[in-house]
Amino acid sequence: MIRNTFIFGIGGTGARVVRSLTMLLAAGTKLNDTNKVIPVIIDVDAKNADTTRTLKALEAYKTIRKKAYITQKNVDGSDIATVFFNTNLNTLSSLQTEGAEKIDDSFQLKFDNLETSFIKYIDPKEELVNDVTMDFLRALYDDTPSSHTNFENTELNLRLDEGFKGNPNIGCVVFNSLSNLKEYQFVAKSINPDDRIFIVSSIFGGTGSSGFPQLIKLIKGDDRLRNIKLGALTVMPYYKIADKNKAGGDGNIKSGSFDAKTEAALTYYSKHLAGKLNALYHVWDNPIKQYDYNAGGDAQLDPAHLVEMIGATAVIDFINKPDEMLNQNSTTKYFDYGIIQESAAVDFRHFYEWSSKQIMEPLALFSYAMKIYLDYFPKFKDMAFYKDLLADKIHSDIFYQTLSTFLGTHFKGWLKEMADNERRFEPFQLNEELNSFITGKIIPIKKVLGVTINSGLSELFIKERLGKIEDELKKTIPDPEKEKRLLQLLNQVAQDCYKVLDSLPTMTE
Amino acid sequence: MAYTFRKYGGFNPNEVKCWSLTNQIKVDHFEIRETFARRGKSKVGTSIPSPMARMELFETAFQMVSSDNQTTLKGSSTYHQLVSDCLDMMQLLFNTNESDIGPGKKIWFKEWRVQESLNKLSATAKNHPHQLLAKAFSLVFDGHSAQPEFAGTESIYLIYYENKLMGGTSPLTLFFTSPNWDRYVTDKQIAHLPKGNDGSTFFSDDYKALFERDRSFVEYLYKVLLKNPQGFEKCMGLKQYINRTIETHFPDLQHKFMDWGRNETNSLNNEYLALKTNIGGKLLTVNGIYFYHQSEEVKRKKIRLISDFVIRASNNKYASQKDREGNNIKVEAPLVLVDGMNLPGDYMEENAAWDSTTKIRYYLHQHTPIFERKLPQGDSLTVNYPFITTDDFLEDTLMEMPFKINKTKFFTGVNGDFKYLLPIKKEYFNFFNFEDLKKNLDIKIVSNDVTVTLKVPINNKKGINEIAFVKTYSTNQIIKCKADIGIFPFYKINESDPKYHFLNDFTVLLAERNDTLKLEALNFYSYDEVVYTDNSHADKIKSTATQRTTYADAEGVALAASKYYKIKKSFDYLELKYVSDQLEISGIIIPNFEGRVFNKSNLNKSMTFAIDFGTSNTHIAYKQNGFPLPLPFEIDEADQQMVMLNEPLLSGDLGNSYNHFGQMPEAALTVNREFMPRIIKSKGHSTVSFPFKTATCEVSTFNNLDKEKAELFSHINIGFNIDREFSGDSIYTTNLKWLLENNSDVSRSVSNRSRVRFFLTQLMLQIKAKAILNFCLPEQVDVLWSIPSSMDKQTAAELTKIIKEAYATVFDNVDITKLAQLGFPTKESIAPYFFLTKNDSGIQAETNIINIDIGGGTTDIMMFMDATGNRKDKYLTTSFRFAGNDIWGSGYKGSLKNNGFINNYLFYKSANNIEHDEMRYFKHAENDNNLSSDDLISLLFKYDKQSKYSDSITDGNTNLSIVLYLHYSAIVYHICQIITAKQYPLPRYLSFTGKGSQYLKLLCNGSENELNEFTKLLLRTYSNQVLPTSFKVHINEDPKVITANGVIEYAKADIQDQFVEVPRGETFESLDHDQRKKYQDFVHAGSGNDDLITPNEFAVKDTQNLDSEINLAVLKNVNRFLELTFGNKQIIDFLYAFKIKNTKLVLDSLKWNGDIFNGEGLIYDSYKKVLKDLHKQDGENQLSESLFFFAFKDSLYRLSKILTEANPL
Repeated sequence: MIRNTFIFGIGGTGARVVRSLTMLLAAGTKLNDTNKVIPVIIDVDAKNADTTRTLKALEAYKTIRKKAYITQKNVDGSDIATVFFNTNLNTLSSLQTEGAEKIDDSFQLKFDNLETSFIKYIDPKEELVNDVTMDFLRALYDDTPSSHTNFENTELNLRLDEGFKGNPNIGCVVFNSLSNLKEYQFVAKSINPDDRIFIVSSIFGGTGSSGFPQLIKLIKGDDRLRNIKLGALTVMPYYKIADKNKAGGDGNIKSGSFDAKTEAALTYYSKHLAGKLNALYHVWDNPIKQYDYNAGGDAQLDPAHLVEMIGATAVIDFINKPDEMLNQNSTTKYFDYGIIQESAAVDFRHFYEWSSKQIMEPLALFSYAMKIYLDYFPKFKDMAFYKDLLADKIHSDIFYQTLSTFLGTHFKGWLKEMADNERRFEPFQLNEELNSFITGKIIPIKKVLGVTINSGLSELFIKERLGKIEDELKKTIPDPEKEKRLLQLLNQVAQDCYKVLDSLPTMTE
Repeated sequence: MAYTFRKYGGFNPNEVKCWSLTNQIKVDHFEIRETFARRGKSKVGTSIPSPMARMELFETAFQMVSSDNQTTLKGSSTYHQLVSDCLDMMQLLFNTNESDIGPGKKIWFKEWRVQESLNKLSATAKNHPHQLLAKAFSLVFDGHSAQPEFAGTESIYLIYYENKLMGGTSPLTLFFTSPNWDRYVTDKQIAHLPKGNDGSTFFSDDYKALFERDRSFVEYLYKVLLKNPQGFEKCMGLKQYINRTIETHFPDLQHKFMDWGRNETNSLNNEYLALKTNIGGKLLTVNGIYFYHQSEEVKRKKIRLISDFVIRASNNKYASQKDREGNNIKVEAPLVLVDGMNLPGDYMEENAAWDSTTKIRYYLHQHTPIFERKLPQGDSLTVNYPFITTDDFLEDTLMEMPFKINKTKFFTGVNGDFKYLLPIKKEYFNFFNFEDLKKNLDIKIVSNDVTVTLKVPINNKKGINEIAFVKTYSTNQIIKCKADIGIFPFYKINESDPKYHFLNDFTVLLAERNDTLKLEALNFYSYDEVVYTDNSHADKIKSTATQRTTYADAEGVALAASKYYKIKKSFDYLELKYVSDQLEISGIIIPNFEGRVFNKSNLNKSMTFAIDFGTSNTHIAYKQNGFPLPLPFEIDEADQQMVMLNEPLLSGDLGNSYNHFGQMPEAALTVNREFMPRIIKSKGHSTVSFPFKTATCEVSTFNNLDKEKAELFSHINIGFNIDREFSGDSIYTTNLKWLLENNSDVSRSVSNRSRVRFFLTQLMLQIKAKAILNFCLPEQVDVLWSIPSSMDKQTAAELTKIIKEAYATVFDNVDITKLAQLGFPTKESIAPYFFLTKNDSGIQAETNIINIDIGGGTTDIMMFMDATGNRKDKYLTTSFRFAGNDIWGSGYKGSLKNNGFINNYLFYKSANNIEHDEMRYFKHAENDNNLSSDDLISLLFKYDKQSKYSDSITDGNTNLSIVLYLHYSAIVYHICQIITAKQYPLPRYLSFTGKGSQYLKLLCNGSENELNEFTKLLLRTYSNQVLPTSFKVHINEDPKVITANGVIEYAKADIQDQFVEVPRGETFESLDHDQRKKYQDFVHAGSGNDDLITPNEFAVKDTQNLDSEINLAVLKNVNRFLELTFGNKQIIDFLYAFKIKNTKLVLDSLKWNGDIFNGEGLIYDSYKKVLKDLHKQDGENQLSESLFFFAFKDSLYRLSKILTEANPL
């Protein structure tokens, strides 16, 4: 059975996990029984750089896949094990939804009229001033006026245009407008009962944690979708934010209270969400890294983190779970993620088998491809394959530009960020030669009596492989589909590299 | 080691490989960090994705704080703060008094009605932003997606404290606080943060777990839980928290309230008061759970049970008081607290000790009745429970009196001398009695400081028996007050039988002479009645006060201002209040009634009193039944009736002793003149003795006063001081009886009648006091009186009426037979006989005795002709108005104080250089227009020893004494005429009684033998009969006393010894049925025996014509008397022997010349004058007295003047 899976990435963390997911899917992580994966980014902070970056990556993914992806079959007719951009990661507009208004080909849900305070947002004409409901709101929300030194605590007077800043209790009210949005209505109509939904949010932020339960309420309140397979990832604190005094800003997000906030929210989840989800994935990491304080907006550009990638694997895990694993009897299954050993720097050796096989192996392959594309191709400008596939197009053609950007900026950037973050995820030595590329496993150069008999992933080796593969590919993929040939070329050369590597490193090595 | 990307427990890390099935993260997995404890800094709740986040947060807090992995319920985390705040709020509501709830008060409510609000919000247009709220709220409260905890909630109550929104109700934890409340608290926008009973401030940084709170609150909350299992289904966190608190800290309660949930009879309503909101009287409810406040009753009960400072009062009067509206208030036993006291003991709660730094701030409480007080902790929401402190029992100032307090009659609190009023506030007696005060009061005087320590017993589990209230009064706190107080009668009646309430009839004198102090009040209190600080209730005993002498009156005279208070209830102590510089100062005066507390069980004696209300003098005799002899009315120290606050001088002379008023000599005149003597003893032992001058002392306006409003002491009193007046304006009225008889001045008749009434009323009061103070039951008091036979019926009836009135006023509620008895006064002519014949006076009974009772105005004669065989008319009385005053007075209806005796005395005195202190009294009396000659002479006689008045006659001007012989002879002559007319033999005894008979002592140089001889001479001259050889004149030492004593004896005599009068015109036979001896009044008209006219059958009309037969006969008879007496050689010689040489002159001056219409001679003038008055009577009236003495009524006065002028010294 082929189904679609809708990934709702809410708020900054949601966007970042979707970003990681994009990378993992680009690497070719295989999804079972999946037609399309439709990420829906929901953020009230339209300017959020994280979101913007994720959206750009998604755009690039879409562009690349559209131009370059082919279903490659082996001779025996079986699918080739790993294919980059394997998954049909697509936009809402790609869905053929009857009766729904066509919407922009965008991945983001936006809210309007948020350029004001919460209380003005819900009561712009001050109609509640003398109403007991206003008293009730004051009982529930902090209304510290702007003149007060503790204005940072304010809730009713909080401006909404930069997100809910750790105030899901506000966000959840605003999120009620979600159902009024045509995009949401489109999404809701586009989802079929047999599809799956996965919601990604952080529990300690503002937008994500606001939208998450609200979204569940909307879905559960939708008769069509009530019994849909529903999974979610709750991302718990894994980083810290610098004190506002050090980095400026208004101090509305306080990582110091992340744990307490998480727990408060968890208590709420445990009461109100239990049973409504089929699967709830948790991820958390001991916060080591301190991010600069950014309230949101275009200044918020947090480096990718291992936790986000693990979060992305939760999506994959969920999508790949057979239906029978997600039983229907109103109990939620809870999932946590474990690695073999704690370490300040995590690499391939730390993962258990499923991850190693399903996630890390494609990641290694795609990284080889990236490395070769970015570091080796320029050296092979004289070669036929280069001239055939790239040559002058690499700077002018949108596809090649996109590919270059995706690999060079999005993917490599993503890896670099993770490698530099804490806890570090550093499976690659991005600046090393290919033989030293995989952390923890150096491909030895075999010498017999001083004579090199196998130089591993030497430049020469790559050069030879590229040439040979290109020659082969030319037979099946005609010139007009050079983009596809290029992607396949990268795919195959990466596999060749992996063969040399033999396997990912393990703890015992 | 394997690593799982999960913070919270609930999994096995070795089993988590990649994505592995684990468990839900639960509260139990959370670890509470103590890092975010600063109030208002944590925004934890905002992370909950619900508009109800704030409520959810409290639920989380309860869950977390009481989760299984917490070892203690106590902590300082944000969650503990939230729990503490929520509990604070519940406890605040629990502690709040009903009266503190309502708009504008401490606490009030608003109601957010769910459906109504949702409808209103969603009634807006489709894209109206309110729709968002409507949606948000409806996802919580409404429809199928509603959160189950909120579904069905009808209302959320918002709670305001000091008009600031504090929070509201929550289905999750019952209550929650607004996040803004934190800000109000930290910004100090709340003026009075509520406090717990233990004094800890709510919403402070000291988070209190439930187990640390007031046990009664814990019990309440537990009971609410037990009673509402369903309501708590939604409040799992709170439920878990309460249960854990109980299990861990109060396991006994599980057992104690085992049946609470199931047992219907255990209702919260029985123990607490449902919490009523200000919203249409709706009860506060959440999840169907009703809330309560601790009823004030229960709060108070708890404090009473727990506190270690509860007063150990010996009486519980304080327990029932009235509020200002007069509603009954039940008052708990107050706590006894002293600023800064450092004593062990729980204050308001178990194990919450008194904090010695607690400020009491008495000035905040002093005007609040104790039952409206809140215990000190500086917060108006603390418990309304009474307390008392030093200032409640001890005055700020000490009042110093100008004398030592009379310590035998008043409680002073010290053993030695003490000149201060007790600085004890009357409120003390709401809790304790006099015995307690005596036991617990200690006063120490060190140099000028007076330190008063009052121990107040308490119930204290730590072994403290009492708390000491201590005040030291130094110079600045001691205020001098010049005032004295006299209480009459000085006794206490503790008899509940209303029959004896009339004994509670007190007059209290406040004499004062202060310069700067201004009198505020003199209040009277009983130990039986609860008293109030502000006197807002009729707690004090009602008294009416009348100012008698004002400060203006007293100016320039050694006199104090006086105020008389009348009290008709028994009182135990007085409160004297002054204002000095706007500062109220007061002290209490506690009479020591020891030995003077009476009730019907200790009043067991009986007494008889006899009043001889004479024209010039009055006497009272009394006899305690069973005692042999009547005694003159005396007041000794033991039965002192009127007691002054000042101590008498400790000298042997009672007179001096009780004329002492310390450094307030002005009080002396006030007390003596206006009130009454403290001591009345027989002559010489005190300044006042019985008999005393019949006089009243009055205010100057007495004549014009509405007599209905006039009061004894306030306006008039017995003029005991008449003989000692020498300064200031004093108004005495004498001759009261005469004034009553002679309504000469019609305009004053009402006043005169009142004077008599008040005079007699005071006598009755003093009789009553005497009786009670000598343990006599009032029913067993007989009051008798005597009346002269000569008194005309109308006057007699009037006097009888007045005396009955006076009696009835004083002996209110006593047997009417006693009153009726007063309708039958003993004849003054009979009375002396009874005493003389019964009391070994030397007079034998069963012989012929004539008793002559000479009063001031009347002479009463009784002839007891016992030795006359079978005659029925053995007993005869006669009476005439010829007595002492006719010698000493100013003549018939005269008022000039110029009779011969006075003039003679003045000459004599100056000639002999007689000077004496008492002259000042004489001089004063001389100038007193109200007084007459006889008053002056009475005064001179009183001080005869000093004044040498008798000497002025017997030694100075012997000729003048012929007036006395004349007076005497006239009476003897008249007796002889009666004897002749009645054909009686001459008597064996002539007995003289009556104050007026005093002049007999001046006859014959005071020799009884000579007087005997002289009398025999007279009798032989006037009568032809043979004089018994044993004839004797009997003069009594205290003639007045004999009359009164006789009245008593008469009343006690056997019936056959008593006398009954046969009315004139009736025969003796008509009273044969009567066992008593019969007598008849006989009036001998005064005609001569030879005139052949029946001397006793004349009417007034018979005298109408001057030349009538009878007038002529009388005048002739008088002439005959004069001739027989002063023309008789033997008599002239006898008199001459006593240096009386002017018989001729006397005879000439007196004798009538025989001209009836234009006659001459003193007797003629006098006769005509008196006759004129007689003619004012109804002509048909029988003559009530002999006309004979008409001739002398004015003559003696004039004669005395003639004689003085004729023989100037």
